[in-house]
Amino acid sequence: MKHYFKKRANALKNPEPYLGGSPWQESFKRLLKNKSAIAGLAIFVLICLSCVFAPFITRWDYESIDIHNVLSFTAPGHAWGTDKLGRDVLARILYGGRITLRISLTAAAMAAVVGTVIGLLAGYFGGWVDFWVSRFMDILASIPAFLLTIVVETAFGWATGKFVYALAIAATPQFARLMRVSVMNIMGREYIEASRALGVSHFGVVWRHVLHNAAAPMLVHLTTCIAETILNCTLMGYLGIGINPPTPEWGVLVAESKSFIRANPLITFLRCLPVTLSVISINFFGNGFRDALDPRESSL
Amino acid sequence: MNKNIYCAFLPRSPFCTISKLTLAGFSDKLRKYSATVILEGTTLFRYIIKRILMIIPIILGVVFVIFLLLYAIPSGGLNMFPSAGKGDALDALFKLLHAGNNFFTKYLRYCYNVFILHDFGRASGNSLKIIGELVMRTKLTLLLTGLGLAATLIIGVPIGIFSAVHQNKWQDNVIMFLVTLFSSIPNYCLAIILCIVFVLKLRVLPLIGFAGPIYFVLPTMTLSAGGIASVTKMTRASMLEVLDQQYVTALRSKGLKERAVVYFHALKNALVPIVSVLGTLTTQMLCGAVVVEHFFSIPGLGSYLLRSVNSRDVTSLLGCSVIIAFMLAALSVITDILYVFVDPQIKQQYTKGKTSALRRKEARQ
Repeated sequence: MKHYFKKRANALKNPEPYLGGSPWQESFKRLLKNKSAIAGLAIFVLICLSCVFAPFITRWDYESIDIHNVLSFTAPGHAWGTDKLGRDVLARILYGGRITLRISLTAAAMAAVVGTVIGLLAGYFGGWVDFWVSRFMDILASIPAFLLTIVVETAFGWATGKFVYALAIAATPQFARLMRVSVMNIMGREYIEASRALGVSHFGVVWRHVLHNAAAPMLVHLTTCIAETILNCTLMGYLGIGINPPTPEWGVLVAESKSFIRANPLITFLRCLPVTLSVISINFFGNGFRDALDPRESSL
Repeated sequence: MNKNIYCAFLPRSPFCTISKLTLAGFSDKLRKYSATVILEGTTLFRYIIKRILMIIPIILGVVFVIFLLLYAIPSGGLNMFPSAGKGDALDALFKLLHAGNNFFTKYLRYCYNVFILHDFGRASGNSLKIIGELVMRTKLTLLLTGLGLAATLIIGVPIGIFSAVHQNKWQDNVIMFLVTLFSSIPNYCLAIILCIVFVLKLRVLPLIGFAGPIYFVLPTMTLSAGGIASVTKMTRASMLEVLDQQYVTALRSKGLKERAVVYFHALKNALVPIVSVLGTLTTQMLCGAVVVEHFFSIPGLGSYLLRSVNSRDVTSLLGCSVIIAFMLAALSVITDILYVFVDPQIKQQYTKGKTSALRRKEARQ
């Protein structure tokens, strides 16, 4: 009871302060003040950079075998030990990160672009386009992403390039639905009517007004989508239906390490770390990002 | 052609009632029957019937998409599906329409076999009918999902309330940190970590087997961790929103005990958004069940799905997809109906008093 009134008084005393600049600059400043979001972003960027600059971090190749040190944690020259074939664990994780992150980020970007365009067309033009597109997207969205990925993969074949399409198709309907809802929200506003009345073309209205105003929720959803796609991609690798085992992919690495969980559980645990860490960091960043873009919702 | 010929396709089985109701539009007799059923009930009853009938197009659409994708397999995986039966009614219809052996006849034949004859086809490996195995495995998966859901709600809601009551204190911060942690850990990593801790180090829980309820502890823990996190987050958010409302202040100023305010009046209203996430939650659980069944070697639907993908058994894959789609569609209907009963605003729309009031209002305008 006491803390309730204290909270109420605080909320009345300091409403969300205006930080200056345009709305985008203001939310950027708000984002910079959020420590956990910045920490999340920093960790994710660090993971990405260490995967990109993997040859500078470890001198081992992800395929080369050190036959004298097999499944050892104290082998000289191997920072994180070796696996049961004597391959360097750190090198496999770093090179695997290249594959996982490349696939998931590409798939998320593809889903974002295609989903945004579909949602934009459906929401802007309405009518029968909207009806059929949104029914189709509803059906796609009612299939779980995991099942849809499996089925698309079965249909297109098992290759890395096609796996990206499978992940992207599974992630698209969420984007399309979100975009459609926010576009329909914006279409009811007066400024759209005014700009149409002033003679602005359809493209101009979409580019200048609709897209700019719908960007915030889409960007927030993009961070969630990247995390989900990483999870989905590694899950497929783990279950043996995504990237195939000799290629180091984070999920594949975890599945490989399951066989020596009795001999050396620490290696297994370490291999769970990169996926978990990157997804957690993205989620922290996404939470902060959402709070920064929509302060009213975050004051809850 | 007699319109009632469509009804001749349907055998007399209680499972076919829904299918009969869909075809009601084609038959005058059934149309009259359904009209009396639907119109004589209250609006609420009508809404529920409508919502249940909505399952049919959704499932047919989902099956269509999956069938289309699997039809595109280069090896022609679906060629094994016959487009002609053995002289049954659908076959007669195809002959009547001069329909060839194409995608749509195969799709119709598959839907007819699955939804009306309850025949999911034969597995490509041992050419046994897969329906028996599907039923057995679906029961196990439902048990696992039910356990996960129960654990989620029993643990998640109280933690969320606790966290909302202690907003911005250290307890709340710790809980919110753990929530973000557990909602981000992949299922399989969590399974491995739990296995290391409880099976290899502490040696308190068994890993694989079916000898008693204790064997379900680890799978349920793995399955429900993500759900607990999201339910806690949701409960906290909706609880905070409700506690900020004026009627809560009024209750407090009346001198009501804090416990009564939080656990009775506020919780009742905070439950509405929680019911709405139940659908997403169970979807998550069904997907998580695949991983859990794979890791703990449980012979459920998920491990069957994986096996059918690995052995490129299109019939089993399609059967699993149909069952999963059916469960999800049924679940969304259950959620919607629950929503009506939990949310008084929606319930009011479907009770008689409100409708007559609305009618009066419309008449005034």
